[in-house]
Amino acid sequence: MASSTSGSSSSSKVVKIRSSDNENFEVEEAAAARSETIKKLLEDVGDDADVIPLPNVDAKTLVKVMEWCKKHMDDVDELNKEEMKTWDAEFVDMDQSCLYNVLLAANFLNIKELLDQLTQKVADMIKGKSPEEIRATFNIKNDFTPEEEAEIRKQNAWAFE
Amino acid sequence: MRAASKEIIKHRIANEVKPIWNLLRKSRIHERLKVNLWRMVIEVLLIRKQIVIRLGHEDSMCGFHGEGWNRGKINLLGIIKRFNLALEEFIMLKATEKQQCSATSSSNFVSWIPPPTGWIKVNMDVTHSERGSVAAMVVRNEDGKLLLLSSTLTSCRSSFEAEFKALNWVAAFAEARNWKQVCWEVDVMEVVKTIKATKEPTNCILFPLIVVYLGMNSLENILSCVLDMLTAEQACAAVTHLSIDYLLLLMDSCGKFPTLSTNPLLLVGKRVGERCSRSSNKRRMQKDLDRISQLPEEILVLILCWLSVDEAARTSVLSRRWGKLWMRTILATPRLEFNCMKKSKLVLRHPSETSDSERYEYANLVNKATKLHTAPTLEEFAVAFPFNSKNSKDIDRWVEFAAEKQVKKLKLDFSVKVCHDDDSYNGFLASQESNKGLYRLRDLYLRGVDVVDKAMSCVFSSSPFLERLCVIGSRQLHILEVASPNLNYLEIIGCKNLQLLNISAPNLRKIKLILGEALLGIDSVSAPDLSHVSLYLRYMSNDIFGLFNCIQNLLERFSQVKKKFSLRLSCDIFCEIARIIDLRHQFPELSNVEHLKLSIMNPWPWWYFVGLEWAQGLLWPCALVKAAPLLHKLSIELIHRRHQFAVRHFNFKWMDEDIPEKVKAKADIRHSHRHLKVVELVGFTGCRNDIELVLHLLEIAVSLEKVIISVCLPSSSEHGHIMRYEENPFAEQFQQCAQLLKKTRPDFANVYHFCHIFLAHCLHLRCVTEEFDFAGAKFRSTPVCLADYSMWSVCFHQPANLPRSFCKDKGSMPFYRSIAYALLNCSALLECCVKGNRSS
Repeated sequence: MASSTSGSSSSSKVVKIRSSDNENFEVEEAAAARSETIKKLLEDVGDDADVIPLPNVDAKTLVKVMEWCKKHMDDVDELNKEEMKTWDAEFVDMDQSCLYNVLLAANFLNIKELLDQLTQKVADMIKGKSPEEIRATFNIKNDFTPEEEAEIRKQNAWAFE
Repeated sequence: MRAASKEIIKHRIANEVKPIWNLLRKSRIHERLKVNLWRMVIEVLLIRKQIVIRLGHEDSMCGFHGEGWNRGKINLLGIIKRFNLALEEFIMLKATEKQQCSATSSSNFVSWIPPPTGWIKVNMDVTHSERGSVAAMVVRNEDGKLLLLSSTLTSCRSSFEAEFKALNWVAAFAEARNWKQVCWEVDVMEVVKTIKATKEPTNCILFPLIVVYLGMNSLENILSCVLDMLTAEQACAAVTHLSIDYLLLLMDSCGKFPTLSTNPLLLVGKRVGERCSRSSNKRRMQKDLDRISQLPEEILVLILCWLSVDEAARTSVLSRRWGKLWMRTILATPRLEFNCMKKSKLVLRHPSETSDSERYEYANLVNKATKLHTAPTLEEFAVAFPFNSKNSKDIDRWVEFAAEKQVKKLKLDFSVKVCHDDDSYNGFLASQESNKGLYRLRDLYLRGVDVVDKAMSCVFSSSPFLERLCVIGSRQLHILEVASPNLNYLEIIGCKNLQLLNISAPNLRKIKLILGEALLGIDSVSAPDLSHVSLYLRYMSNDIFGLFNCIQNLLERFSQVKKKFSLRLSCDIFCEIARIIDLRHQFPELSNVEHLKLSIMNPWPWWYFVGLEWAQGLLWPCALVKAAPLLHKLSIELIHRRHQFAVRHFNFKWMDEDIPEKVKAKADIRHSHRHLKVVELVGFTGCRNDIELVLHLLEIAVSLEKVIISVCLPSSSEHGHIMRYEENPFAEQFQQCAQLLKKTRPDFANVYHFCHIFLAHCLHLRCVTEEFDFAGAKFRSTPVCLADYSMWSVCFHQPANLPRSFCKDKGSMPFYRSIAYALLNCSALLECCVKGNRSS
């Protein structure tokens, strides 16, 4: 059984969560509660919490997300802000397929801050690129006919000049 | 499922307080459905209501969305029923869609398709790396039942070879088990092609092959292809995998060809055309997928929210999926940013070159977008375009809009450069009497906007949460009274008519001021938390004493600064000050400053070139050092913007035997500094004043640990002329000078080691023979630490303005050569350096 428990502090409450591929994890409640979805669930369940199933998130992604949650468990003070920034920057620096998995998980688990960071990361990948470059970066297939594309470019000429 | 939902409903009616999740958890419905139901009930799922809240509009495409999901009354059964119905409808819809598009679909991704009845299907793939390759196969029958799973390790030189070996291996399997009707699936086109092209079937693949291509979807094509191959006596054929009908049809037609009907082996090529590459591993497959477009719209919209409107609009041509997304983004985005500046065309242009019609066009666009935005609030509103006063009406409206939406960050940037356009927009908050809307403002950036005094006082009085303020290039600002409880960053740049500045901001941390000639001084600064101050004084008047008093005044006002004090002066001011003060001068005490940075713009005054003595040289900053008792780091930066330092242009006396004497002579007016540990010198050229300053600092700083030097190579960018070291007419003199310095004070060896390198480096000594092949590459990375003495270390930075050609052309590599020379002459240093290289 994989686990991402802190282990260090026995006093902090631990919740159990289960990924879509049926791996169980133990996470500190404060970390798990970064997810609005889990938080609401916990409120609803009360103390007699059993394993919380997260059928939309696989184990690999869940580990990633919980890593983030653990880091962001406590509110950051001024001093650690810079450090946290670099940590976040490294965290979102992952390959595209992983990025989308975590993105979907963050959406499902409703972790706004993480969602913001990830969407911003994708936006940064789009920034400063021509449409052709964007297509190449994300493997987007152009399903417009040349005429259609020309028409759209004409309509929004101000953006393409 | 029905039982479960019934129970939930019962429970809901009976007792609303008890949590619903426990019930759901105990029920025996699928977990995915469980969580979804629960999410719907507690309103976290994106049902219609949520979508409306989040996106600001309805998505009519969504067939299933809850309405009236109040926690009190809930008809779960009805929901499930409707859900199932919707699902069925959806499936039906998809099915018909699929039928319709099956003829044209060209998706790259293929799901497993069962083989015809009585056949078995082998899916095979290979992954190849340098260490070896792995082949794996999955064998299933027509029902999808797994018959065999196997993998093998082979050693191959290429993925192509690996693919063939794997095919052999699989074919051997097939033969051994006497499989007759086998459908093959591989995903490398080249392999398939090669098999097709081979006259003699390779090894075990003796069976006639039917090659199934994806995307080749008209029957005529396939049949002609089959016939082509048959004529080549290759029993290969192609059909599309998309429709089993085609396959059967082909089977039928195959019956007409005896060679095919005997032992058919079906080979399925998953990919089409030239795009297919040799590597066939799974990662590659995934990489080719367009996963971003598969993300739900709500996420895509969130992504687009981070882009400026211009950039978001550019995504409209990506594909149909992206076509209208950006427009939907505008509806509820938390950021509206119009940034035309980024376009290279406009950046290079002077604002006056932007035509009025361009301005109106862009203004219209901003107008449209502001009208589209329907969310009640907006975090950020930014417009960057060279607008002028002719667009006043529009701009007024945008400011109003921003006020209405209670923006937190407002950015108006109407100039490309700090502009001298006479009709800058000056209506900012000028006419508005009440602007309660800017109450939430946290960050205000105004550039190329002629803000008036009244508007600024209005901002301070109405925006108590203001944290950052930048005003750049306003010519109508005369008196600025900064009074803001939460302000922590203030930037006032190029407001040339600003006369008076008062600051009262208890939370102010950083301040950056570029002051113009009108400023007389700062009356009062009340900012106890101030930690970073950056001042830039341009030449203000002919009254050098007035000017100097102004500087004194500024130092006094900001004397409480805690960490860093940066002062930037133009060369003229610097030299004028050098004339009127000396090392004995008492500056106002900067009692808490830890880092002092002094930048000098264009440090070569014109008279320097005609050989006049620069009387005080660079020494007076040492008086500033004296005024800061806790100083830890000193940086002196010479900014060679318009670089005029080309040795051949002036006849300067480089030989300065007298420098050490001079430094010595100043011993009586020197005072030692205990805390100064790091000295950083940027843009130094190694001329006498530089050396004098360095020597002086070495005398002052008794606990100096580190000297960092970033040198500037003599060059003249004006003529694109780079002085090659061979051309250096003073090379020999330099060398003599270096030797001299080394000899003068042998007791202070470290210093002269240092000077030696410094000189060699700065002055391009001609000393290294061609044979000396210096490992330039190792020194290209900066900084290069040459020595780590117990007392202090010397760091060399590669000059920032070293052009590429310098590095390429071996004949003109003074930088590396001079280091090499220095190394040759200082064996101690050489050791250190070698050590350093090894460790890195």
